[in-house]
Amino acid sequence: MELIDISALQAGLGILFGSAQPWLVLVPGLFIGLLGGALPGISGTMILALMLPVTIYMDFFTAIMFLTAVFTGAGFGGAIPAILINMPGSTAAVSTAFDGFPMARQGRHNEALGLGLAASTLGTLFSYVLLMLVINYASAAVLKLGPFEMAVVALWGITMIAALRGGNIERGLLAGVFGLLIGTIGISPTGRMRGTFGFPELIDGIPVVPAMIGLLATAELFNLARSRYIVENEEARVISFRRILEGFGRIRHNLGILLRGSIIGAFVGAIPGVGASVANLVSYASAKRASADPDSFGKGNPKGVVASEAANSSSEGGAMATLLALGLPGGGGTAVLLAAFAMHNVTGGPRFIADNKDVVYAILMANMAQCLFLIVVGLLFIRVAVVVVKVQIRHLLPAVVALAMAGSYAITGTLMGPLTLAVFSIIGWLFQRYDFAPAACVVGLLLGSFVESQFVFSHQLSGGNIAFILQRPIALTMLGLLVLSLVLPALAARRRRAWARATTGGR
Amino acid sequence: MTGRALDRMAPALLAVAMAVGSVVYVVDAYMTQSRIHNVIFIIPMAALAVLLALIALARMAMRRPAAQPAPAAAPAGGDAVSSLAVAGLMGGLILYAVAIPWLGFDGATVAYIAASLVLLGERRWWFVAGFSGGLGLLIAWLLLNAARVPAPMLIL
Repeated sequence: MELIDISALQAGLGILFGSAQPWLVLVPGLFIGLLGGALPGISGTMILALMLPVTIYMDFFTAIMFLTAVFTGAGFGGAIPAILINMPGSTAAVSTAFDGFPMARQGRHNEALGLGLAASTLGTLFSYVLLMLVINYASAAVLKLGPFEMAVVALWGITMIAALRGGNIERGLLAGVFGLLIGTIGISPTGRMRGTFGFPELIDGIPVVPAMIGLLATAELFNLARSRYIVENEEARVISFRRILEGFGRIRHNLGILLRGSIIGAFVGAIPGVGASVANLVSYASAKRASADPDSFGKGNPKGVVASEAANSSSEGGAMATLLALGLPGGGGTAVLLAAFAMHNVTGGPRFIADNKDVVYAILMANMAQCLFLIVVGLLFIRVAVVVVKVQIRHLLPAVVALAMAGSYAITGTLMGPLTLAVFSIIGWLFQRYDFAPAACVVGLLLGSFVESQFVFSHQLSGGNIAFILQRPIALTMLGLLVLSLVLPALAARRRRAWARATTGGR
Repeated sequence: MTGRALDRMAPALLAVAMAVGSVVYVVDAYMTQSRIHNVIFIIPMAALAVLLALIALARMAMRRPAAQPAPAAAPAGGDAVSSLAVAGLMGGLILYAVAIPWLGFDGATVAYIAASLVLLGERRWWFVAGFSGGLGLLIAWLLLNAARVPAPMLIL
């Protein structure tokens, strides 16, 4: 099997530059994606879905170029509210907020945004270059992951967020497990209603996006209610294009983390159903574990922003690999892309690659070009979006809550969205106040039904014999890593306490 | 019970609530259908939730009161917004959601924004009226016309 099919690559270049039309939709696509990702309550998936009907009148390649531009823009757009108001525009930007928001609170929002944009564009670029090199091999590798491995990957993500955030491990894990359980409410794998307690609105489960916004965003806004500004220091509220550019350039000091995050993102993103939501957490945890100063994470360490943004952006390339190679969407965003394939009478999957290698290469190269355009469009967009730090909290809070309420209503189309947002805002505030890791709960909620279905498939495949796990070396390795991610932080904390006792003479 | 005592007991109450909620959910699922695929995941997870809640309770009990981690502090540079106002913002959010069928999305949004502004210390009545009316109606209009969601409306 050859690495790159040169003749198909040349034909792909012909498709890419054969018409101006695909290029005309690129910048609008990026801008719409940035806007959708940056608006609290409006997810990248939602904006992609809203844009799907627009592509009916485009040819297939132009439609894919437009939608992937929206996808790429939304990938970074989610980081903007995560950094500025601790409200991840998507689940992929959860760990961006861990250090991005503390940086904003310290008046380093320009640096964080510039750094995030650099990590995002370079991470995406890296993943598409990697995808181009391994597209022929990627499908075979992903096929080796069975349902049990997928379940373990998802559980690993939750365990790490609970264990590596600092604070009470057991409370973090409890929040994660609670999230997993409430994520399974609704129709069970056997087709029965569970946990709805007579509310038919819960048949489809708890609306994830309103719950996520409530747990992570509005809860944090209520904590901020006592402040006058997100950035208290008046001098620090200055919007500086120069500082954003400096932040962008500072990526050169974080190349190792960028590379590691990009690799993690590309591989985790290729796993269907896991994707960017877990990739950013795994990458963040990995950066924290490898750091000489892990305690600085969560307090405004720029490396946390780089790790998260590189991984969530590069996971786009991984998800595209699964979509193109297997015809499987890795998440909501690629599900919309798959729908666009169907709208244009194109069927994704192994045959698509075999029969249309030139188109596949054209799509990959188009996405690489998008990364370069994103640098310019993203910088201009940040310049506008960063104005939010100049608004007083007393004016920002009601506006953002009302916007989130509208987003929750738009996503569900019923009163269930606003009600879920309200209830989970209070739960999130309680979780934050008493150290119960709301982010672990969110990831559990997102992955609950997915992990359950993987458990059921595993049970069916094994014929009820649990010993089949012993024949899955990848699953065993992942389980080992899961246990290590639980044990190592506890051991490290014990060692730090013992060292502190020794240095203070037991005082 | 004083507010401070409730604050100290809150983590334990939260852990117990989650454990009890998990058990109630499992019982409901089991009563619905006892087939293994209906409960293969949620029974172990509920058991884990109970175990973690017990560990959390034990650790809270073993820790001396002075060593209990302090609840997350309010952000520095605080304004004169009271805890009661923050509670009002959260309770108001529930009222906001519940009021949508009666006041419409536009009316409920305008009312919530106005109430929040007052709770957060805004005293210029003309600003409260203008900001809440303008922003609330704009958001409701976007929901209705840009997102094309047929939400109930009072004015629009």
